[in-house]
Amino acid sequence: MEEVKLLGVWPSPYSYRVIWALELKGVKYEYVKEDLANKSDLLLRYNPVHQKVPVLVHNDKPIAESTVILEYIEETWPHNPLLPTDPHERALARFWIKFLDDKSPTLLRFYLTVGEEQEKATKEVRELLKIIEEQGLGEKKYFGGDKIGLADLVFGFIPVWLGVLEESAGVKVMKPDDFPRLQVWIENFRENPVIKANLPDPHELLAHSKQKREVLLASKIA
Amino acid sequence: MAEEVFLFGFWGSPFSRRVEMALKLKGIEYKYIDEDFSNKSPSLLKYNPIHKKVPVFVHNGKHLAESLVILEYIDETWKDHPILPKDPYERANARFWAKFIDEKYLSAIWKSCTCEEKEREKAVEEVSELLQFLENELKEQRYFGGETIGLVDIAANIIGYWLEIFEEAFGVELLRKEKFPKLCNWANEFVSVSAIKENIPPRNKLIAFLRNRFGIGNTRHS
Repeated sequence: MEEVKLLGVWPSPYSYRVIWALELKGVKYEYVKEDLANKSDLLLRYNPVHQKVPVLVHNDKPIAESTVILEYIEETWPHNPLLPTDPHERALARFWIKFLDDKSPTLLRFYLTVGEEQEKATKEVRELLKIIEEQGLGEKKYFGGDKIGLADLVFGFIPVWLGVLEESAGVKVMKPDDFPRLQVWIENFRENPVIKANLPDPHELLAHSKQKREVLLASKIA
Repeated sequence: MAEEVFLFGFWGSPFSRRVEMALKLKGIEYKYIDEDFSNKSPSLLKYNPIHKKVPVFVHNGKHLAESLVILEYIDETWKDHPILPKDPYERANARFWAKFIDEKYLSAIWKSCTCEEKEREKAVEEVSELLQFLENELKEQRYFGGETIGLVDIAANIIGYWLEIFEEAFGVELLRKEKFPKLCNWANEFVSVSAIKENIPPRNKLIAFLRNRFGIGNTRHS
């Protein structure tokens, strides 16, 4: 009998990527909520190197690092494939997944700063979005091609978290007429029935995000 | 069908050398173009407009960047001498360590070699902790890949060869045999494999390059 556990944290985009992958493939799993201020023995045992979430545990074997987990899920439950079959297309999906993760400091900086620093950070994230739209998404419907794939789940940060961070930081990174293709992708992503059924509550997310920003900014000044 | 394989690299870079190691292991013919960083070729800028870095791998006109992404592509395209295991869990493990090495090791080694004297002890300790993870991961195996060189061994080329070069160039001791016997043993085995031996930059040339480029005038250890 298969036993799949996911150790995660609300409202981490990294945990959600894995949730979405499991849900898209209809894999049954038990979700274990972790408290990062009070890490469980289970987490420390399953991810001794990073002591972070998400961790997927399949028949008692742990896998850490969200992108490694996503590839594992794809290989272990190959139905409803989330990666293209062509090796070059697969490589491009991996490239863009790595790209987004490597650029996460740039994505978050506008949310963690104020004043002139924030202005500069906002400009940088807009440049990033331009690259993502023009070169990552291009003319495709999804980052994965005709249908949702692993890269879309990773870029899911944009439809689900970016708007909330913008509101918390009082800054508009994506204005209504900006990045038209990306905006269409955002709509398609959010309308996917599996994604729609597995989104963090937007009000709770906003409240959490605002509070976190206050704490982070206060600690910088101190 | 004649395959057209090109690699844009830099002779001293562990990242472009990784790709060469994989190509050699699998007996793939390729054309190598060495890039001069002070004067990047138009081809490089065309093939990797996003990062403008090496390695850039081109196969039948399709280009890819990011060494680990390229390694996975090579493994999927040319099936001889696989560098990833078959079992999904072992593959996940290999990807985890390759990613970990990529994200943590070079910057930590670099820091320990180039930081201020007062920060050195702590920086060296950080490298030591990182090396301990790999020492433990080796267990009783000849290579990280088991009986044959695999993805993690190739990713760990930084430790297998470049580490000693950094030690010599900057006069810092990082990989002590008494503390890391298995890792030292592995490094010796690693560089003796012909596909690896043929693809490491000449020692003295690299040491001179590092010293010149990063202005090592004063000696730190007598």
